[in-house]
Order: sequence, then structure tokens, then C-alpha cells
Amino acid sequence: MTPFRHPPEIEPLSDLGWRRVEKGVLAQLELASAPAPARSRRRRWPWAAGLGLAACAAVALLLSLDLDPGGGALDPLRTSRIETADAPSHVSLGDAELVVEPGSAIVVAEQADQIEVVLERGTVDCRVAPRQQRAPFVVLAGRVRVEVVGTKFAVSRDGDSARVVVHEGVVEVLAGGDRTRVRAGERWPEREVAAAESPTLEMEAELVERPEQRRPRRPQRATRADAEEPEADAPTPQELYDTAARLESSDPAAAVALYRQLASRNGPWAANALFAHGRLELDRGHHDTGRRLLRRYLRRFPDGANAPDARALLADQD
Amino acid sequence: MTTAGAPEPGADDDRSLAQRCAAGDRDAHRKLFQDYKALVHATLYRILGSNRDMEDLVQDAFLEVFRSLARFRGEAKLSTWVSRITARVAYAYLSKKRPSAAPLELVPETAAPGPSAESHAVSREATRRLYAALERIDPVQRIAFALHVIDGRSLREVAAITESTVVATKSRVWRARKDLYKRAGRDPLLASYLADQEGER
Repeated sequence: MTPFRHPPEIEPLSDLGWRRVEKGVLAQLELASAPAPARSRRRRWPWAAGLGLAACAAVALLLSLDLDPGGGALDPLRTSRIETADAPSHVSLGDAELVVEPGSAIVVAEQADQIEVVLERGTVDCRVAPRQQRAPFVVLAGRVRVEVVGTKFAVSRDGDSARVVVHEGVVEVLAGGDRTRVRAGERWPEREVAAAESPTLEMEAELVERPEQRRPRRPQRATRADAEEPEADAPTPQELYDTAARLESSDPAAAVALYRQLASRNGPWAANALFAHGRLELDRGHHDTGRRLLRRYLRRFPDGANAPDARALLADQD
Repeated sequence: MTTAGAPEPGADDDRSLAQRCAAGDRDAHRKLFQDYKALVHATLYRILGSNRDMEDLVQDAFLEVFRSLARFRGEAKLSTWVSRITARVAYAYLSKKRPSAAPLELVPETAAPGPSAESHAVSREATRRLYAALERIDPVQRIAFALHVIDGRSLREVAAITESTVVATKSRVWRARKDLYKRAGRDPLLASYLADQEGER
């Protein structure tokens, strides 16, 4: 039998989901490598070994409970997401200060004295007081891990990688199995190729543009000429939907216009767009409009894939 | 061409990483996790479909991988070793749980490479039915079918992952397909989806 021509797409795990998994794995490995208690030469205490195992199991259970957001162990894991549009956002985490640059998104996970920041996109500037005996302050960006013991630095995400600039102090950057110390005045990666040396890099830099800098092509109203010869490169419903999704944070009014346009049509993109529009209006604080749109979604698409979410959102509003 | 039992090309890097992991090197643990997380996730996803327990399963798979690395000698690629362990975790999961239909809301509303959104919506539903049908199939056959037919791995690779022979793997795939088509006889959408995937239209 031949393989499928179009295998189903794989649903990705979120950055936070990956973080939870990695943390769980590394915590279990840490426990497994902890030295066993020394045996007494004179007397055996098999019940003490059993107690030790039980204690390890209890710690493992607590750790696994801790990894579940809101799962109430002694030190629960608290997570919060910050997303910025046109203006930066200042965040205080005890004696660490963050500035989330415009068009950026981070997730902060705090547990006891551990702080981890997942940089989903954009740039975050950090000022971190010396950690001393506490666990290092960690920033994760794609496959790059920045561990901070006390400093001022900035991390910018670039796909699966990142750029780090250190203004004060020292950070350690872990990427591809290599650990690099980056000091004040230094940056990682070290070498930034000038455009003159590498036209390819310059071209790549042009291609990697921030979504909010790209304006959507407004669909043209059909004219008689258009009807005879349709525009060859008119955006598809999926492209319109993707454009609207990208515009939500930087230009919500434009996003709304595109969702409205899609929702006025038929088909699954209409369903997606109507739900997204309702959800967006709720996010913007336009609760009456948001509720009205979600109810309209449920009337038109009572069995739609987002119907349970729509009902849950409406229930939250009541 | 390598002789039986001899290390595969690139085996030194694989062995070195495996040894460092087995020795408790934390940086090596992180590197292996980052290098193979996509493979582990994709393997589980292809076998099980969208699943609420996916994060736990990925974690379980990695823990089993790390536990096994002291035995890794480099005869196979590390990627094959990781896939093998992951398939075992999937098998254990399938063997424990009772078959149930995959609920619709777990199927992601992501863009499919079809020509229209309508075909994308139909494809989503068909995928749900495919995995619902696979729930009723013997786990060993399901794993062989999922890795070869859905994920597109060669029979030889699937045989290496499932620690079987090519002949046995082909037989498992054939039996799973027969069972699937029997169920599709009562489900025109699934039947149409399978026929389209095999290019029999």
C-alpha cells in the first residue's frame, strides 16, 4: 500500500506546552540521578530505603503537580501571557523588570523563586537583580535558552533562534548543545555579517519582516472589467483569514474588516472568521458586540468546531 | 554498505551524545530533547492522532529514551532508536486504553494543503473518522499502518522501529488496511478519503 498523498497536518504543541514537557523530563532525570543514601555497614534498614523511595515518589508527584498550571501543590506554577501592540509594556517580576517591546508576546511562568520567560515573538528587554542563591532567571526563545544571574540584556526572537545583547553583567546562552558566556557590551551570535559581504543575508533580512509592517491588499470591488477577467492574484479566503489573524494586535480595525468580509460568505472560513471576530471584540472590551457575534456564530454553525468555545465564552460573560 | 552489527555513518556523534546523556550531562539532555522533540511528537501524533494526553506521552517517551540510552551502541541511528522507544510508548498507551471515538473538537482547525476551505473542512472530518476507525484496529497493525501509510516511512524503517521484519511489517500494514476498508464500507466519507489518499480516483 502506498503512503497517503496528503497526510493529515500535525497539530503543534505550544511553546508553553513544550516548556512544560521539557521541564518535566529534566526534573525526572534530576531525581533519577540523585545519589542514593549511604548504606550502614553494621545494620540494614530496608524500611529506610523504602521510605527514601517513597519520598522520591512523593517529590516526583509534587513536581508533576507543580507543572500543571493552577494544579495546587505547595508551590503552584503561575503563568501569564503578555502581548503588546503598538506600545511597549512594562512588567515587574519581583526584582526583575521587563520591557516587552511593541509587537511582541511573552509567557511568564513563576514557581517559588524560579522565573521563566518564553519569548513567543518580538523582543524583551530585561533588568535582573543578582540572583545569588536563587534559581537563575531564564528566557527561552525558540531553541535558545538564556540563563541570567543578574544583568541587563535584550533577547529578540528570530524564528527558532534568537539574538541576545548584554548591556550589563553576564548571561549564559545555551543553543545547539553549546553554552556561551556573553558579557556586557557583547552580543550573541557574535558575528553579524554586513550586507555588502553577504547579499543573501540581506535578502533574507528583507523577507523576515514583522507582520504589522505588512499591509493587506484590500480586496477590490468587482467591476465589469473584473468580471470578464478576474484578478489573477486575488487573495484566497485562507490568506484573508491569516492576514486578519496577524493584524489583530497591531491593527484590530483592519482585522475586523477582513473577518466581516469573510463571515459574509459561506463555507468553513466564514465560520472561522465569525468566531474570530466575536472573540476579538470580547478581547477589545466590546462585550455586547462580542456576545452578539458569538450568538450569531452559534445560530449559523451550531455544530461548528468552535461551538464549544463560543458557548464557553458566552457563559463567562454571563 | 555496512556489515551487520557495524555502526551506521554518523554513529560517532550519536554514540557520543547518548553516552553523555547516560552519564547525566544536563546540556546533553537538553540537546537531545531539542534535536528529537519534533520526531517524538510526530511519531506519537501519526500513531495516535490528536490526543489530550499528548504532552504526557511526549514526556513519557523522552523519559524512556533517556533510560534506554545506556544500552545504545550505535548499530542503528539514534533517530531510529528514539522512534523505536516512542512507538513502544504508543503501543503501551493503546494497549491500556479502551477504544473510543476521537471527539471532533480535538481535531485542529488548521489549514490543509487542499485547494479550498470546503475540502479542508471535509478533510478534517475524514481525519477524525480515520483515527476513530484506527481505534478499533489491533495496536501492532495500527502502528505499522500509521508509520508507513500515514507518515510515509519506508517498510524497512518501520520494521527497524517495530523490531520486526519487512515481511511481517508488510503483512501488518496489509491487514490494517483491509480492516480499515471494511469499516469504510459503512462510511462513504472515510471510503472517499482513503481512495483519494491512495490516488485511486
